[in-house]
Formats: sequence, structure tokens, C-alpha cells
Amino acid sequence: MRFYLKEYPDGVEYSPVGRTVDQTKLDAGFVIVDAIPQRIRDKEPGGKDYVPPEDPQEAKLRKLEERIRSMEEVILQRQQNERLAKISTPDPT
Amino acid sequence: MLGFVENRQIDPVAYPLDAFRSDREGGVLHLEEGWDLSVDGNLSVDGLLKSPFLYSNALSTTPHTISDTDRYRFYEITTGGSDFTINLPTVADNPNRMVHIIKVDSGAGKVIIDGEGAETIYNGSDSYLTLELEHQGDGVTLWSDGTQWWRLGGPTWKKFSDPSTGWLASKTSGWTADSFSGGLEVDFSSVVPAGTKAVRVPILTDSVNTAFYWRKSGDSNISNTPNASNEYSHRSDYGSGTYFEGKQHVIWLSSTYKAQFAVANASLDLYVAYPVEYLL
Repeated sequence: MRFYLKEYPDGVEYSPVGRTVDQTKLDAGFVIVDAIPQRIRDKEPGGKDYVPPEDPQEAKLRKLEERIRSMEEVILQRQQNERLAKISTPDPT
Repeated sequence: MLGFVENRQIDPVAYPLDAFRSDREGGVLHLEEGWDLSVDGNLSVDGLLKSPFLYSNALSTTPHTISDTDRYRFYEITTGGSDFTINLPTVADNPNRMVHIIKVDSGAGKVIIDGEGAETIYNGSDSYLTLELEHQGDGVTLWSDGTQWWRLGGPTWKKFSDPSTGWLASKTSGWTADSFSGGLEVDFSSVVPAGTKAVRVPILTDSVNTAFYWRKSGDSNISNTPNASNEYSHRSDYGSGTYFEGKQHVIWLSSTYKAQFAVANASLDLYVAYPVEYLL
């Protein structure tokens, strides 16, 4: 079976070619292939390279952790800067 | 009272008759071509009523054209491994004609029922140039009103004997949310027999919890920009904290065997499997 295929940077669209070729699909940038390439099939659900999407709850936790970590880094950097400032500032006396 | 004299034909001309009876076994009342038998009362037959109209025509050589005058009622077709085309007679020359067409073997070939030229067969709510019978025992009854062939009895669900595995169509990028024209159109014509009105097909979504909409291509009853509050009958909601869900759906097809899908969230990945059943 032949397919119309269009690849995007972050995904793909394909669907079967019917009994007559749809010119509007070709005009929209689809190409006709005899079979969907195996590398695309491998990334689909059931394929060997399939990466399941992140669980929404875990995604929330991960983003919170990243935010906390970056805030900690900012605080540490400020403390470091204050210490350096004390060392390099001469004693007015 | 009249009777037949053995070995001698008598032309019955007496009128009126009290009764007309033959005592000779094996006698035949024969009317020459051009003569009609008209019965205003009841016609009572104790034996068999025989007519070529009640006979069946067993066919195995493709193509076959039903003629205006062959007068068969049943066409039993053995396709073997190759497709068999049976051509219908001119609809206007066959008013009130009824034919039954049946595929009687388990061969891989399908029966293709083709109206003459551009004549169509009305099946359900759409007209088709051809109808196809795929499986042993599949059959249709067609009736001509002199203008159109009508499929009587309505469509039935049939199972694909060996549905293909894998995904038939997929869209994981490039969606415009809430838009059929910015969605996915699937042409099922190379997958289903001619005359198919709907399919039962597994559909799986991934990546985000949302919904998709469907319609037969060009169905103006469902807006091109579907709205959850108006088009629930054509909406399927997935997830609530989950993803990667699959369900079977009945998807009705246009007369050109196409269906359209739209999504409520453009991040959705949609996978359409090969159909497992078809309605014809």
C-alpha cells in the first residue's frame, strides 16, 4: 500500500493513498512512498525506539525541582559574591 | 365441458366455461408466443410453478453481463482466486426487475457488481458506481425502479478475515487545534470494498490528555471548527492523568470512503489502525 508522507521537525503525518491520487495532498508537500520507512515505524507505539511521553505528574515535579535548583544556585552565587566583596574591600581603618 | 382427445389437439373456443380439465396424464396446455394467460380470479397450482425467473445462474467466468432477457433471478458466483465482474443490465430497460447476487465460494477474488456505464446502485444513504462482495456467503438483492438500482435489505457488518497490523494513518505534528481542515483526512478506499459505509477501527492517542473529533469527509452537520459544546456526538475524550489510550470507534465514511479527524489540543499524537470490520 502506498502512503502520503510528510515529515516535520517534531513529528510526522501519513495516511494511505486511495484509489485516486489526491493532488491537494501533493500540493501541500506530501510525498508518496511505497511503505512508511522503518525508522518512523520504530518510533511509534509498539516500535523498538518508542519513547513514551513523560507522565504529567512527573513532569510537574521535575520542573519544580529544576526551579528550586536554579534558585539555590542563585542564592549560593550571591553569598559567594558577598564574601568576595568583603575580602577585596580594604579596611577603612 | 371440454376435454382432450388423445393425440389430437383441440382449440378451446367454447365460452363461457364451467370447468376446464384434462384427464390425460402428462398433458400440457401450451400457449404460442404472443399469447397471454390472463386470470381475473385465483390461480391455484397443486404442482410446482416453474419459471426461468425462479432459476439460478451459476457463473464462474468473468466478466458477465446480465442481459435484459435472460430472466434469471439468482446469480451464484464462484470467483476463485481472481476478481469477478458482473455487469447489471440497463436500469431503464429493466423496471421492477429484482436480482440476487451471491458469492458462493471461499476464493480470494471478490465480486464486483457494476452498473452499466455511469448508472449507480443506491446503498443506504449514498449511491455507488460499484458494490463489492468479499466473503463466501456475501450477497445483495438489487431492484430497479426503471431509474435507479436500489439495494434492498440494508447494509450489514462484516469482518475483515485478516486485518493488517500496524498503523494505517498517523499524525503527530502539524495540527491546527479544533479544525478539520487543519487536521487529518484518511482515505479508506484502498482498504475497504466498494459500497462500504462505515468501519470499526481502533484509534490510539498519545502525548497529552485531550479529545479528538471525527466526521465523514465534508459532513456539514459537524462544523469545520468543532466545538465541545456542540459536537459531543462526534467527540472522543481520552485520559484524565493518563496517556497512550486506545479505543475502537465506528467511523462513517463519505461516498468517497474518506473520514476527517480534528483535535482539541495540537500536541496530540493520533494513530489510526487498520479497520477490523466494515459495514456494507
